[in-house]
Amino acid sequence: MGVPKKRTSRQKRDQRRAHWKATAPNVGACPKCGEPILPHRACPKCGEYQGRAVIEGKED
Amino acid sequence: MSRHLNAGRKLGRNTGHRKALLRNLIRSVILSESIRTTTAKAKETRRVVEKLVTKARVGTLAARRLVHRTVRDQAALAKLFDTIAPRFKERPGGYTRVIHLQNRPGDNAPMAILEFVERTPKGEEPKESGEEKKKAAGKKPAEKKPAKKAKAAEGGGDQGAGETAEKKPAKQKKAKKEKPEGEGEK
Repeated sequence: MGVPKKRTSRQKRDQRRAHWKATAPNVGACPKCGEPILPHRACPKCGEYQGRAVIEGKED
Repeated sequence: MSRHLNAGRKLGRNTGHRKALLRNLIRSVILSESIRTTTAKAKETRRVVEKLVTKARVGTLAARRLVHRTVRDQAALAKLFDTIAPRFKERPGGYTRVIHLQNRPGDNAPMAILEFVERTPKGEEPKESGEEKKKAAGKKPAEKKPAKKAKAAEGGGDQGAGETAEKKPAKQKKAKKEKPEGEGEK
């Protein structure tokens, strides 16, 4: 079986890991209350989605 | 192995557990018209509920017996046939909708609301929510105490608490869930 001849140097290891990046979530703003919301989800603050109140007792 | 032709989710349960869970969820949707669960459970429940409504629309005794195989609860069965099915007389399927919510704190599970497209007070969305608010306000003092007891004992309480308690072990839900469900129920 193939085995590495040399230990990977810190530089090479870190260069490889330099491409591991977190992606930012795709955040939009609620059209009603302006709260940041995730796409395709009801607004957690005002409970509105596509112009309708979805979660009871959450309207502003 | 590819999972071609394998429709549906297993929800991490064996057959009996899954069937029982879905029956409970179905009963809840019919009785409360709107329930909050994980997205996977909502979508899985939707598969069954849609078919049940389609059968209920026929309205014959035979259809009723067919539906009764899944909906064992008489109150739910009656409501499905007498109030829900007539509401969708003209609708060719698509009786329910799933609205995605924020992920649940704790386990980050994607949550959703599963509800009938047409709710009890027809075409009165703002009034509807107002009414629900009033109902909720009226019920809270009455229901909070039994619900809390049910939490502690994980057993029966009043009708609403009893139902949520019996569902909880399967759904791994805690107190947060109890309130919206209890409110929608009566």
